[in-house]
Order: sequence, then structure tokens, then C-alpha cells
Amino acid sequence: MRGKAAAAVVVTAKRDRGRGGIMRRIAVAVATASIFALLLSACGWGEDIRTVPGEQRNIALIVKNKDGEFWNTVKMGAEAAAKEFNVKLVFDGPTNEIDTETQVELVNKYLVYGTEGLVLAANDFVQLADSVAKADKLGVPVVTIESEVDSPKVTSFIGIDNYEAGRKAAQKMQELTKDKGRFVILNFLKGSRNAERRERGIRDEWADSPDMQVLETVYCDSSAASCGQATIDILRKYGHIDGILALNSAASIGAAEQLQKLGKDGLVRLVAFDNTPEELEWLQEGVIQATVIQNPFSMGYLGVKTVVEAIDRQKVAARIDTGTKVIDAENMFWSDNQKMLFPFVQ
Amino acid sequence: MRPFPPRLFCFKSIQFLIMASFTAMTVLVVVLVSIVLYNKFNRTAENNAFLSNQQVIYQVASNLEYYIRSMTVVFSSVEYEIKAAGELPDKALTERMNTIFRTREDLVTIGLFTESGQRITSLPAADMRGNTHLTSQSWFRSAVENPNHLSFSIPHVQNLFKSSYKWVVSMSKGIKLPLANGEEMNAVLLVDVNFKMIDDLSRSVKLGQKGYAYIIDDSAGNIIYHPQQQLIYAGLKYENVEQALKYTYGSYFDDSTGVDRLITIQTVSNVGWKIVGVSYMDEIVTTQKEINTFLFWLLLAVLAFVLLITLYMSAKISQPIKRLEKSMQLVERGNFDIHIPIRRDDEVGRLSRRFNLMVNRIRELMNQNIYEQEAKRKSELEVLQSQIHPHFLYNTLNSVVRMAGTGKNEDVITMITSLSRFFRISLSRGERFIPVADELEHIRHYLIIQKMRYKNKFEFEIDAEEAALQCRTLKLVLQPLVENAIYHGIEPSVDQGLIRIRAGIEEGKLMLRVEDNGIGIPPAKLKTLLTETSLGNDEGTGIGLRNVHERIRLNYGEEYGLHIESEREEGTTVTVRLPCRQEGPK
Repeated sequence: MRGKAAAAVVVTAKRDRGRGGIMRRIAVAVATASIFALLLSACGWGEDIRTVPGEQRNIALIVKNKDGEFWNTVKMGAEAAAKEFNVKLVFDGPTNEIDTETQVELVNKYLVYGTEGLVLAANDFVQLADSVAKADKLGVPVVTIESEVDSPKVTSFIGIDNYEAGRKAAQKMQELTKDKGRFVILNFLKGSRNAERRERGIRDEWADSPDMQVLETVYCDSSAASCGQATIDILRKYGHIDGILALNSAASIGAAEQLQKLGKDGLVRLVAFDNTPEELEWLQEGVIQATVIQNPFSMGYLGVKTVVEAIDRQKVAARIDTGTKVIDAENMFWSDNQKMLFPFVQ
Repeated sequence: MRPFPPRLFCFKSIQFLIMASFTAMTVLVVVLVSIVLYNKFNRTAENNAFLSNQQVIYQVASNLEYYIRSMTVVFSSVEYEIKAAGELPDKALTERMNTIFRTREDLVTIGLFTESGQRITSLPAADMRGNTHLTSQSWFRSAVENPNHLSFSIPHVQNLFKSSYKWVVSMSKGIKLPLANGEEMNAVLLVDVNFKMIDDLSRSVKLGQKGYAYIIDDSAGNIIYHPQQQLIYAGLKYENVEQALKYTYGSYFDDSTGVDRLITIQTVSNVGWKIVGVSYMDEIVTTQKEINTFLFWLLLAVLAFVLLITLYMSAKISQPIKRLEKSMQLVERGNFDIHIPIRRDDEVGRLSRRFNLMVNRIRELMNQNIYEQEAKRKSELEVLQSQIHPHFLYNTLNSVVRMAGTGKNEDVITMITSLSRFFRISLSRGERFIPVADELEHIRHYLIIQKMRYKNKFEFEIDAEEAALQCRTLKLVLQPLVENAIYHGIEPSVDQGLIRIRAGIEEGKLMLRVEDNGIGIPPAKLKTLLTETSLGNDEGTGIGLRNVHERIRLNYGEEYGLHIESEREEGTTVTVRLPCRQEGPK
């Protein structure tokens, strides 16, 4: 029985195969091929067609003082860039600008964590050089912002010309006091390169103006409280002075606060640095007559952007000047200046 | 013969031809299809990008329009409340305005100012700052310059109140406040709106991975809103708004920023803003690239598949042909016992069958030829055989005359009788095969006649086994042997001769023996006696033997025939080996 059935099957198969001959077999092969291709293509369409996001890069942004208002704006810029260039950004820093040791530790820590790029606002011109060299050895590019580091291994510096900023502040003060007066420079950190450069700018600007007299340079350690105290001490020591040049935001805030408290606002001209919200309010109210602004948002943004480019082995500029501008109560709400002064927060 | 290397790819083979042409054809077709598909996809992708961008931007524009209308409604209701309130500031009014203010988280300020910039009432009710330059602010000026017209400002920082600085868009309108004395006073109503809702709207825009939408002011091209507004403000990013200003709606390609972008524009009618959608061409191109890669892999896969298929198929087609060729080579060498197995009923199968038929026919023809040759030979031999008789008859009749002359009547009778019997069996009704008994009878009569002719020069004996008698044999086999024995064996001998005829069965074969005690055959001659084919070089000696031998072999086959043993002066024995058949072969 079984044999018979099998034979019948074979016969049918043979007859079936026999009918068409070669042409039929070619046709069958082509049909099979096209079915196969269709299947393949069906598989292909099943997949999502979309761009694969590039690998997220880890970048650490280490600033002078992670609580500082100025550095918050830097952070905003860095975050904007991080979003744009697909970066996982870590923001960190010591809690005051004197703390170089902690900053060195932080840099080393993030290098150990395997950060791919480092954006650094150095607390010290010299002491961070070793950390930069270490990063370079690991192949991690370092972009310094705002403050420079004394190392040839730094990929790029993004910041302002502090000497020029000092000169601008001095010019503005001279304009405000009509070329005559006694002044105190409220500087932030003795030995800080930026502080020195700014002061040098002021003194050089007034070198040919004997009427513009600098009584003293007082260092108040980048703390609003101690700068306020310094302001009180200065006023007590000299009685009336014509103006104070506060060379960073902490000094400006401290001085403005005390001048207002003592009722000296407007009488003692205050030329400040930076554009923290407090300073802007005092600027509008007339406690601060003018402020020299740098562009912290741009520093943060360009810092991250540049370090990403360096990681990607693109050519980057060794030095990017973000520019300074002197703002007073008159021009602070000019459309262009608004855009520079007030962070756009939705 | 040409050597035939068993290679997979012989460039002159059908297999190669099929593979090459199929592959070429497939590649051509797939490449063509790929190009057509790619172009089609390309155009479709671009068109789709155009269309979908326009739809998205249109959607955003209508949402924005709706939002602005709702803000206008808020503004109108505030205006209505103020006008209805009468004496200002009014506590109840402040309460109602507070309700509106609290329910909308996008409201920053509601303020009413005199034409000289004095605050009448405001929310929040915080202290005003100094140095606000209120009257010179653009929203204030446009309200004073165009009374009863609701104007929207470009984004600015609201600096009026002592709290934080906020970026807002100001809605302002110069209105007339009814005073208690019936006169009207010009005032400016301000409603500040933050970017919360606009930001939400903008975030909902999806134009690829990187695409975005921004809003510009129709008149001056100021950027109202941009997802990266701070970057624009910081001068870190630029938008080519000049070109966007030229369009009311539509799309165009832009590469002013160094990147190919598709710009889609839609105007928001009631406020004079334009929404500008930006999507990146490289994302559209990315899809194209993916299609490219896909098509490339598809091509590879199809190619590999087609190669395999054609390899298989061409092998399938060409192998039977190669087999056929080999078989033909065998036939060429002379082997006709070939049958090609037919596996399929296709062209090659049919060719194989025809070839088989042809080989069969050739084989048949050759066999027929052999048969005909044999038959011809047989008949020739039989003619030769029959030529013996007249000579023998002549001699015998001469002997009878001689005996009759001498009056030996008895002998004459015996001789004539034997002669008569001899010829009767010779004829044997025309049959070629006769029983051994008849053959023996026939030879006995022949011997009787010859003995009388040779005057008893020899004696003879005939012995036969009973079994042998039943067998049939080719007739007249023994007569030439006996004739030979008498002429060449007995006659030259001086002794009394003896011829012994024996028939027996050995190992199933019929054996007929003719023995004589004659002079024997010289060994040199014995060797060539049966094999030498040249006729009559030695006075006919051996011709009879050879004829008999050949006749037997033609009739029965190669294994049968004569065997001769001989010794000089002792005698000769000729053995005839035949099959024992009851019927002779046809």
C-alpha cells in the first residue's frame, strides 16, 4: 500500500516537473528570487529609519565658585551648548574663589571619572598648570574661560582682555567725575592675574591724568560681605572719596550695598564689574553708575563648544575674546544692551 | 581527442553564459530599479518635508493666532472692567483684576498709566523703580501715538517694578478714562505677557531632530521668540531674517548659515508676526542616505541570491548536457552498449532519449550487419560443401562400373544401396540439422562405399552412446573429417587402416570423434590447420576441416568447433564439440 502511494506521488511529481522544462524552471527561479528580495525589503522597511544620535560626550565645567551669580550665567551658556552639541555636562567648582586646592582636586577627580573634555575657570594662574598638563597627558583637551592658566597645554582661552576692561572702567570713571577726584580700587584677590590686569589697566589709563588719584587698592577676597566691610573701612579712613572702582561682582555688590546703606549712593561714584541681577537693580536705581560687563553666557557656551570641537579634532582658535561693554543707567535698557544684560529665561 | 577538464567555470560553457547573463540582467534591473526608486524617494522625501513643514508651521501659526486672540480677549476684558469701574483706584476693580491675574500664569503685569507716565493702578502693586524711562519705552509710545489700537511690542525687559527683571511682550493701548466731571482722560493700559505659552507652542514643533521654529516681527524683523533666544541675543547665533521677511507664507531653501536648511514661513495675521520653521536638509538627506544604504544592501543580497540560484540552475541545465557529451564520447570510441538514464522530460531529457534511440538503432544495424555477414558466409560454405558430392559420385560410379564389369554383383548392389542411402540423408528434405543417428548412418554409408573403393584398405567402427543419438547436429559434419582421414591419413599409410567414429555426451556437450591410425599430421601444419584462412595453397588440404569448423562456429558460437590431436605415424583424432540440442538453432 505504502509503496503504491509513494509511487503515485512520484509519478505526479514527475509529470508536474516534466511539463514545463527548462523555461519553467527558470521562471520558478526568478519568481523565487523576487519573493526573496521582497521578503528582504519587507524586513528592511520594518526597521526604524532614523538618525542614530551620536555618542554623548562627557564634559566637566569647573568654575571658580559654583554658587556665584556670574558662574550661574556661565553655566546657562554651557548648558545651551551642551544641549546643542549633545554633551553630558557636569558643573562643579569650589564654593569660593580662593579655594585653589579644592579646584585642583575637582579637576583631578573628573579626570579620573573619565571626562572627555574640561572647561576650566582657574582660581590660580600657576597652580592649575599641573592639572592641565595631567589632562593633556590623558588626551583630554582643556579650555580655560575667564581666567587663564600658565600652561602651554591649554587648548584655548575664552574670556576678555582684562587690561582693556580696566582701562574702560577708568575712562568711564573719569567721565563721571569730570577728570578729577580721589579713588579707591576695590580689588578681589591679591595675586589673581585678572585682578592685576584690570588694576594695571586703570592705573595706566590714569597715568597721564594727575587729577585722577588712586588712594589705595583694597583686596577683599571675592566675598560680598568682606568687600562691604572694606567699603565701610575705606569711607571711615578717607572720609569723602569721589569714586570706587569695584573690579568684580562680589566687590561691586558689597560696595553698592554699603554705599546705599550709608546714604552715600550717588555721592561716591561706583564703577562696577559684571551684570548680576543685584548689580543691575542698583544700576537702574543709580547706586552703581556704570558697570563693565563681560559675557559670561558666551563664555560658557563657547567654552563647551570649543572643547567639543577640540575633542572632534577640529581646529580651534587659541584665544577667543568675548568682549566687554560699559553699561550705565542711561543705556541699560537699550534693546541691544537688554539682550546682553538680562538672561532670557522663559 | 580534446581533453575536457572538469572545471566549474569554463568560460565557453553554457553554465557560464547563463550565469553571466542572468547576473548582468539582474544587476542591470536592480540598479535601474534602485535609481528610479532613489529618485522617487528623493523627490517624495523633499515634497514630504515641504508639505509636512508647511502643515506643522500652519498648525503652530493657528495655535499662536488662537493664543493671541485669547490674550486680546483678556486685554479687552481688563479694559472693560477699568472703564466700568469709574473712580480709580477702585478696590472692587483691583479684586476682579487680581482674579484674572492669578488665573493666568502667563500674565506678568497689568498696569494703567497716565499719558505722562504716572501709575494709576497696577498689578503687581509693588513699588516702582526709578529710572524706568517709562514714557520713552516703545510700548508706551505706540499706545500714545495710536490710541485705541492694541499694539504688541517686541520682547523687552520689564523694568517697572521692584522684583525680578523679566522678559515680556507688552500689549498696550491708549484708552480714554471717563472722569467724574464727565470729561475723559487719556491713559495707557499695559498687559505684559511672558514667553511661557509661546515657548510651549514652540516646543511642540517637531521639524526633524534638529529643526525648530522661531517668531519674527513682521515690520522690523526683530526676533520675538527663538528656542535659542539667549544665543541670538549673545550674538552666538544668527538667523537670516531679511529673506524670511520677504515671504508671507511658503518655503525656500537657505544656505546663508553655511548649512542647507529648508525654511517654511507662515504669517500670524492678527499681530503681524511670522513663524519661521527651520528644518535641516541633511536630515532629509539622512533618510536618503539610509535609502541608499538600504538599496545597496538589497542589491548585494539580490546579487548573492541570484548568483546562487543561477549557479544551481546553470549546473542543473549543463550537467545533463555534459553527461550526454561523455556518453557520446564512449559511443565515439565504439561502445554501443550505452543507455543514458533520463531524469526529466525536458529538452535535455528528450535529447537523451533521441540519443538512446539512435544508439539502439546503430546497435541493431550493426547486429543485423553481422548476422547478414554470417548468413552469407554460411551459405557460401554450404555451397562449397555441396560441391564435394559430384566428384565423389563420379568416383563411386566408376567403381560400380568396374565392379559390374568384373561381375561382382553383390558388391554392386551394396555400393549402389549405400550410395542411395548416402544421398538420401545428404538431402534429408532440405533440413540443415539432423539427428546424430542419421549423421552416423550417413557416415556409415560413406565409409562402406569408400572401403569398397579402397579395396578394404581400412576397417571402420562406429560407436554411439544412446543419449548422443537423440541430439541433433549440423548435417554433413563428419563426412569431410572422414574424407580427410582417408585421403591424408590412411591412403599414404602402408599399414592396414582403421577409422573409428564415436559419438558421446561429455559434460553435457555432444562429442563426435573421428580417429584414424594414419600417418598423422606434421605438428607445424597441425598448428595452423584450423586458423589459416588462405584457401588452396596446399592442394586443398585442411579446407574441409576448416569449413566444418567455421560452419559449426557460425551456427553454434565460438565455444564450439573442432579439436585435432595428431601424432606422426600413430594417427589423428578429430573431436567435434557440439551442443546437444533436440532442435537445431534457427
